[in-house]
Amino acid sequence: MSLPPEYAIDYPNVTDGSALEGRHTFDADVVVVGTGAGGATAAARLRAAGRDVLMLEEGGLHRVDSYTTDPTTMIRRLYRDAGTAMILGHPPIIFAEGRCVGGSTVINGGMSWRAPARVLEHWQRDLGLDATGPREMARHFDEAERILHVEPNHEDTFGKNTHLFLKGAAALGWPVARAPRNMNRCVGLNNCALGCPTGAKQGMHVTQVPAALHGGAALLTHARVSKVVWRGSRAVGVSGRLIDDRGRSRGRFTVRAKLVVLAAGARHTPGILRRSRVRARPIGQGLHTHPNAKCVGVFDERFDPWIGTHQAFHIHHFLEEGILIGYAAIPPGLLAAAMPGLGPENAEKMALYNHMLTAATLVEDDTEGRIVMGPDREPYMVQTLGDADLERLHRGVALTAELLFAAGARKVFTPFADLPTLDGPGDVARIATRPRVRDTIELMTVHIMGTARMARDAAAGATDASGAVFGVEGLVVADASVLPSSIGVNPQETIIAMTLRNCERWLEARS
Amino acid sequence: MATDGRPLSATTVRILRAAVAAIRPRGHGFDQAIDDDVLAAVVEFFPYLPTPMRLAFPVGLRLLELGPAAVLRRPARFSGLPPDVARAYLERLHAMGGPFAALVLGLRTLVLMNFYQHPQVLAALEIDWAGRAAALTRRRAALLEGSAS
Repeated sequence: MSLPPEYAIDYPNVTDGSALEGRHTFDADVVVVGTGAGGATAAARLRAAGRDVLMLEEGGLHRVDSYTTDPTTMIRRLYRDAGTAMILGHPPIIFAEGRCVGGSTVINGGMSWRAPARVLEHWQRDLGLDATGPREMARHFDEAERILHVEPNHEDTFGKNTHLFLKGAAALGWPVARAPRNMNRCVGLNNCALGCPTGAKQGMHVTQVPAALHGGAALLTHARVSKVVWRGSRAVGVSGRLIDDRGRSRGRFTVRAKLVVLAAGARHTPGILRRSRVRARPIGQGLHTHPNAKCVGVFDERFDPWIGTHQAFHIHHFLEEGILIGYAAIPPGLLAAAMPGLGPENAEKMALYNHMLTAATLVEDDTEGRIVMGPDREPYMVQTLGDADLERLHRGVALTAELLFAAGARKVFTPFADLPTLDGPGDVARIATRPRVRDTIELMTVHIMGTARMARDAAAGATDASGAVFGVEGLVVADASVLPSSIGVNPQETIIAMTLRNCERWLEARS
Repeated sequence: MATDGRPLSATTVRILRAAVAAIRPRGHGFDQAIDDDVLAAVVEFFPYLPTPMRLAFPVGLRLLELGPAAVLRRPARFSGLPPDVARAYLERLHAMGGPFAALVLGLRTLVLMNFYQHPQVLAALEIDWAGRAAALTRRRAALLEGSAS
């Protein structure tokens, strides 16, 4: 029996940190903290430029052939804190991110959009960040799309879920955008959020991480970075703990390096900076969360929403308003947790699982939250959505509900605990008049950004126009932290493109 | 029953068992006798939770156990309540907001996730995601090799 090529990927030069005990010291030209979209890209690029690179990853290396469709197993294996993180505020927002080799690219939906031109123009024109405009960034996006193997879904992967979504959009006259995704011949399994067992999703674990390793880079897994090591104001490495799969300490490590690349994500990168006594005020400020709210349409027809790909199309018709609409297939165990009721009430709703289409609106948020350090020296996210975001969210939910009814839904479950069900299209207007109570809205996100944002000067951001941390030497950032504002679309491709751009600058500065 | 190599106390197990009984779906095709499996799966999650949550959980469970006296004005412990009454108690706590609502939400998420992903429940829903994964993995390999249409 033939197997997908990703099953045969070899990962040389990998050390399993959970098998080490005691104290260990490593040396490299460059240490890269994190192996997600930014970290893996930076590692591969810097290694290709001849640098001796060591990647550090807090999670484990999980090969594609070990992936399953069981959420209870895969969430523990691939997600930080078993997916229980929360952005504190009103409303609280559930936040999920990867903690494994490949980072969140292992568990995302594979959407590969470029940041919209208006956003890039804002960065270049209004924020004064040179060469971040659409024209200047185009070649980096081109390269990012090559790395990610971006392609649209084949039509044979469309299930009835896709056809219902298209039917709703067509009935309302809304154009749909065929979603570019980082995959090599997706077959529509719909298991993206738990890792793709078919190997189709071209995340960092099957692209840039093995590319870097085969080029001669090394990888230490189960390595949790505590702080940057300094000599004066120059970063000369990092130190941290070696842990097991459950986060229990096994030993300690230090890496000595000439360049430290932080790519631990928009929550933990500012956390590492704060623990490392980098005091600049903008660090941790500027948190954008790109929250999403789901609506579940219940149809008379049974259509098995778990069969056929999800998000083959998005609606970008309202993107200028900061609203994006998509659809997803969520395993019953995860969907049930987001449905109202306990016991028989929950059972009554979930009995219709095979009649349910889950759609969601993603909202470009203006409100800036922040990262704060807890008493346990861990970073926590805080954001309370402002009035404009709240209005945008209600509009997005109303549009999503309208689409589901236009597709034929007979009722729609909303994310509002005080308005849980809409019994027909006439009820959609109730969303507009709903009191704007924040705490009864259920939101989640996987797209946080902006917490060490690039800026022209140290008063406005934590990093300069190349992602280098202001006020110190030898320390750069390569993840969603550096994005200067909310981009309104899934950030994976923009993180990679920005990292490619910044790598050129780091290499130039050190040549 | 143990988590992270350490045995859970009998009280913790009793409270969790009552929570599973109260929260788990019933009726509408969901009457599978799988409470023990769900409880075991819930416990398996604990070591993976962030430290503050892991430390707070046992305390929260003890307060949950003693809460009916204050919330329901009823001299009983949570683990001694019939499932219907326990469910109503959890719904009251959830509506109150704050840390107790977070505790109920956390329990609810763990119980419902592990209940609906149980093989017996997936079979009742006629969902075979794992079987489809195996078939599609083979299909993709064949497509990439050029031996499938």
